[in-house]
Parts: sequence; C-alpha cells; structure tokens
Amino acid sequence: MAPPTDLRAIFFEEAEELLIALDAGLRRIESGDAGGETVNAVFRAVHSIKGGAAAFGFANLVGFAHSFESLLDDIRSGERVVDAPLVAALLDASYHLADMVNAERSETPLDPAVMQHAHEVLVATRDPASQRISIEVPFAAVPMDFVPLPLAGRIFDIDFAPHADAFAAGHEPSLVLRDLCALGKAQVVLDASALTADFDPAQCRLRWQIRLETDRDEADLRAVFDFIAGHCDLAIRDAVQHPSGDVSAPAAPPPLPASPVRAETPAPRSDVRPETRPEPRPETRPEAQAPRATIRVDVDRVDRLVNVAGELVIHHAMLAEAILRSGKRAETDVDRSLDQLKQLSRQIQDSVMAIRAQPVKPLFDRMHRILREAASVAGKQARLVIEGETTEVDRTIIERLADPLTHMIRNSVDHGIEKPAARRAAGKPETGVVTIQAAHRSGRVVITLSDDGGGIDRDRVRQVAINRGLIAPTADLSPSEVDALLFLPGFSTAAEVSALSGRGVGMDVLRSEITALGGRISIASQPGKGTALTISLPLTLAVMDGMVVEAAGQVLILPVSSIVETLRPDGSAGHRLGLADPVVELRGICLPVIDVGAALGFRDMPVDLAGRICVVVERDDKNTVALLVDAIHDQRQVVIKSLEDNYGHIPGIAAATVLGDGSVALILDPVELLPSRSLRKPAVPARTPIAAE
Amino acid sequence: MTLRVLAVDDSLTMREMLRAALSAAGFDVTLAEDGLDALDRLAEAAPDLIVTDLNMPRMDGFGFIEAVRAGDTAARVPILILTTETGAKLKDRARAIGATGWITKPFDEGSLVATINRVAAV
Repeated sequence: MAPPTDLRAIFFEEAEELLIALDAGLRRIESGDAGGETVNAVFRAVHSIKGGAAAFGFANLVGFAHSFESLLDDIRSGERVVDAPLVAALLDASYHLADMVNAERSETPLDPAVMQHAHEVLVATRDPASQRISIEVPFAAVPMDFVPLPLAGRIFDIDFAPHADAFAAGHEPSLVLRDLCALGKAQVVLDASALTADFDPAQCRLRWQIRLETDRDEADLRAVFDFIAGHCDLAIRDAVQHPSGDVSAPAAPPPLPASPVRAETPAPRSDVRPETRPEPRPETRPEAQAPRATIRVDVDRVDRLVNVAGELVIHHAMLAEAILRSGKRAETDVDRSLDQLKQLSRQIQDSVMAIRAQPVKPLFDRMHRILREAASVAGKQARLVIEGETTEVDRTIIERLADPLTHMIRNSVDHGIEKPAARRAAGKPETGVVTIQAAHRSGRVVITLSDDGGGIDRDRVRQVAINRGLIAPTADLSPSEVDALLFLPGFSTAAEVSALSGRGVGMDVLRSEITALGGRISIASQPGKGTALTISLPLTLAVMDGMVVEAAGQVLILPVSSIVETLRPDGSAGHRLGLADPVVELRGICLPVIDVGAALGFRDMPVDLAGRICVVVERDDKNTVALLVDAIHDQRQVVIKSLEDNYGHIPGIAAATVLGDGSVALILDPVELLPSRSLRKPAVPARTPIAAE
Repeated sequence: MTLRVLAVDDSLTMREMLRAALSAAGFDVTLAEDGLDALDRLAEAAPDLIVTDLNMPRMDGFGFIEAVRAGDTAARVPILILTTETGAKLKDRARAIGATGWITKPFDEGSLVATINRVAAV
C-alpha cells in the first residue's frame, strides 16, 4: 500500500511534534527526571515515529528508530542506569533521528556513512561489546502477521460430570449450575445417556455440557466448582477452539476432555479476583494530560481568514467615510451601528489573530540542539535557559525567527562564552549559561538572548572598525556606539574577525533578518559579565493600531504602540542647539525633534515648531524622540501591506496601508526615522536625551 | 448493515491511515487517540469491532482491552491489536486478557480489511 501524499504530510507534521516531545523528554531525563512516565513518553515518541515510518517504507528510519527504541526499552525496564554519557548518546540519537526525518521529508538522502556511523554509535551504546553492526530493517517485509487468538474469557465450553457419589457427599449439581449461569449467558445441555432403567437415585449419573458466554475469566468459572471439588470431573475450554461444537445437539456422550482437569486441583481463589480487575476510573486520569479540545486546521485557511478580516477592517473604514460624506453620520442610529460594527470587526480581527498566535516554546526548544552543537564545535561548555516560553507570537513571525535565533545562539557560543579554562580563571562556573527570554512589552514581543560570557572586547571592535575604514581613528564613541558598530555591514566579514567569529553569521545579516520582520535589534554588553542581544518584534505582521497624522500634506500612519504622548509645543518650548536640529523641552528634558516631513524628503528644514504637534515616541534603545507632524487626524486599526517585496527596505517606512477613502498611506517606523541630516550615519544611534540644565 | 469499527491509535498518521483504509472498505469508523479516549467514545461508537494500538499514553492497549472486557458496553466485541510489537510474551498477555487477534504494523490495507471481515463474521 502506498499511502497517499496527504498522509505523508500528516506523518511529517506529527513526526515534528514527536521530535519536539522527544527532545523535551530527553532534557527532563538530563535534568535528573528519569521517572517512568518521562521515559515512557520518550519511548512512545520514538515508537510512533518508527510505526509511521514503517508505513511509508522509510527503511533506514525504521531501522535506526528500532535500535533507539531498544535502548530506551532497556532504560524503561530498569536494565540500564541513566548517566551523563547515556543522556548525551540519547540526545545525539534524537538529533540524528530528526535529521533522518528531515531527509525523508525533503527527499534528500543522508550520507550513508553518516547514517551507518550514527547507528553504530547507538548500537554500541546499548551493548558496548557489540562489534557486529547490521542496519537491520525489522519491519521492511512483514506483511500481515495475523494470529487468531481465541476469545479467551469470552465463551467457554464446560463439561461437568459429577461423580456417582456426589449426592452422597451432599452436593447438589443444580446449585452449581445455577451459580454458573449467574456468571453469564449459559446454554446448558443435559447428558442423561448414562442413565439406565435401573439407575440408583442415590448415585449421580448425569453430566452437563455448558456453553457459557461471560466476561469472567476461567478462574472465576473454576471457583464455582470449588465446593464440589473432588466429586466431579471438570473440563473448561475456550469455545473458539471448537467452532463446530454445536452445544444444542451433542452427537454423542461428549468426548473425554483432552486434558481432564480433576476438580481436586485447588482452583485459584475466587475471592481475590474482583480486586485485580481493572476498572475504567475517570478520576484516576492524570490531570496533566487533560484531553485537548482542539482541531487541526490547514494554515492556508487561517491565512485566508486573516486576509478577509483585514479587508473587513478596511471596508469598515470606507463605510464610515462614505457615511460621513453623505452627512448621515449625525443620525444616532447610524452612528451607533457603525460603532458596533467597528467593535465587532476589531473582535473578529483579534480572534483571528489569536488563532494564528503560537507560543514560542517549540521554537526555543529547538535552540537546545543548536547550542549543544555549537558548544561542541567550539570546545566550550554551555547550557540554555529558557524563560517566558509561553509567550505567544503570530506563527508567521515564529517561522521566520528560527534563522536569526540560530545565528544569535551561535554567536553567543562563539564570541560570548569563554573556554572552560578561561571561565575558571575568571572565577566563573565552567559551564556558561545562555538565556533566551520572551515577553510581551507594549504591543510587541521582545526576545532577549543573553550570555554570561566575556562581553564585547570594545578595544578590539574599535580597532577593527578603524582598520576597515568604518570609523575615523579619532572618532569619539560611547560604549554603546562601539557595540553598535558590530551591526555595520562589512564589519564581521573582515578576514581578521572571521577567525575570531568562527562560524557565526555577520551581525549585519542578523540585523537585516530582524528588520525584514518589522523588528529591531540592539546589543548591550558588560565587560567580563556578558552580552545581551534584544530583538523587538511586532506581534503580528497583519494589523496594527495606527495614529493617522499629516506632515507636509502627506497622510502617514504612526504605530500607536510606540507613542508615549503628544504635545503641542508653545513658542518657549522649542530650542535650537547649535546645528539646525531643534529640541523640545518636555518636563525638564530636552528631546530631539525630527520633522517627519523633512526626514522623508517631503519638505526642507526648517519649519517652525509653533502650531505643529510633537508626537513623542519611544525607541527600543529607550531613547525618546519627538516627531514633528502638522496634524493628527484619527486613531484606527490599519491593515499592514508590506512594501518590501516591491520596493525593498526604505529606512523610516515600515509598510503601507489602505485608508477608508481607498488611498494608500505609508506606515512610519519611528526607530529608523532619523533627522534628515543624520541619514548618512545610521549606524550610530541617537544619544540619550540630554538633561536640561 | 455497515460494520462499525472503533480504531485506537495515538499516532495521528496511523489514525488517518486507518480512517482511509477502513472508510474505503465501507466501514463506519470512529477514531480515538488513546485508551481513555476510546473508553469515552465507546458508548457512542457502539463498535462491532475494535482495532487498537498497544503503546499509547494515558491508557495503553492492554489497559483499554481489560477495561472494555470488564465493562458492559462492548465486553463481547472482538478486539484486534495493531502494533509494531512482535514479542511472544506480549501476545500471550493479549490473549489472556481477551484480545481477539494480533496484526503487526505496517499493515496491508487489503489484509486488514479481510481480517476484520473474517473476525466480525464469527
């Protein structure tokens, strides 16, 4: 049977989940929890992968999974004690298993030598003495192994022949038969063939054949005959073994039981049986495994829903605009309905986005392997600590975060964590800690990856930047500005840094990956203490709350999530400091003012602050700036339409949206929006607001 | 009359394969993802025959069979075990607790259906 392709897709999807469960279970074992349920879960994951793989004829995968399973079975049965080398071997095996699954999925076979080696290591782990390795395929050609089992415990044929002296011993066979019949549905046939005309009524000459359909087992049946033990011949057989046995018409005196069981043989005690019978008791279910009420939905369908919900928001805006123009807005009914429609559209939008939101846990869990492998290559020791793994993010973002996170982890191991000897010398534990943390902050998701390594060597970074001609030798840079040099294109591609950076990926590549997601990245480092990379991402790439503003005649959108406050500066609030860039004073703090119209090239500086509006926005690096706009029109939900596919990345512009009147408005990225004069030096972040004297 | 089959397997892949194979054979199929889930569905499914995996979370195949045999709903319904296991001890245990038959994965669609028909006809 060649399973259809959609089953294939299901298998790989499931295998991915099983691999995640496997990894999680192995890490629980690694942290000392080698309890039965944990080992069972791990075993089941491998077992299920094997079962599915067998159905699709993935022979290599089945063979490896089988050996893996055997090793796990040794642990499960207590034959094998879990120690650190074993856990390491299990983790390696799980990674290889994942690679094999991926190879089958992408139909790009793994190197047979690699597979052979992995299998050999696994087999040798199980049995160090074994030299002979064969990649056996235990299930390749097993078609159908159907072993018909009798309906044991279901239908019994019973021959019951009291001895002649049974009556004399005080036994009453009819009572025994009555008890027997109480156990189930019985057909009882009396065999009176031994009766002769001159029978002795004091002697028992009768025998019975009973076909009993029961849910009891044979021991229960035998228990009925306990009291007549020693005074009867008894044979109990599974009825299925005698399919021709027509109990209603025994042809002759029944044949002697093949292996007559003398009833003297002490029957198993009946009084203990009911205790051992398993009963389905719902209250004994593990609470942790409460049944999930979930359905699987094709991602395409959800995406379609997301798009339609987005269109709904746009059309609500169009409707509102049309009604406004018709002059009917003033009618309270219309106004109220429109308002309700707005609420409902918003709810639909939120609900739809919630469907696509997923916890970052599976993504973060994958980083354990990355860290382990990177550490192994670099000859370092490191462990990963995960925090906030339940934080939910739109799945489109999660999917695209895997590469940047991988780069970040590798960078942390390569550059951050020191070698064990260096760590020891610095008074740190030999094993470095890389922490990955997710949290929601002001409508965005913030992911921080920090290590407890040596921090950025700023002198070295500075020197490299000077050598590369990126900064002037005399440049006066703050520590955070030096750190930010790492993100400059061309910095880490320099040959002398490559040796230092191992197989890490250039930070400029990392930054463009994050920027492509509408995200931002910043770096902070403390010499000797470690480095932290922080990325901040929108929760979704589909919709956002925007403030509709106008600058130089252009309608623009500002993300509400970044807005701290708005103010209308009076004449005395604005200052100019030497250069043309003005600052505005807010509660004793001077904020740099960026004229949005000028920054985007819609008009030339300078304009007068008076009569305009400052929108104070917070940047990720905690810098606050005031964006100067001419007017604020509205605050509304806008659907994000990416421009990057068509126009590439434009600094200061995050995306575009369609307004209610059908016109297109640009969505600003306040962080990248720079004073027009500063556009040429984007690498150096704006300085912290200067405290006013 | 359409044969009602309850198929129990914790693997989604297996469940979908069983659904495909058994539906194509004209059976009325109910799927369950482990022993407890199957017990929950037992009354509603009212199966004429049960196919179950052995290795499952929460309640494995053995536990499920014992529970079915001890209950009222389907105590007499034939139960086929469908598993990758092949151990003789496991088969003996299955036989002892009232399993009807043993099929080793991977299964051949035609043979599975034929076996079900054969067992259900008894």
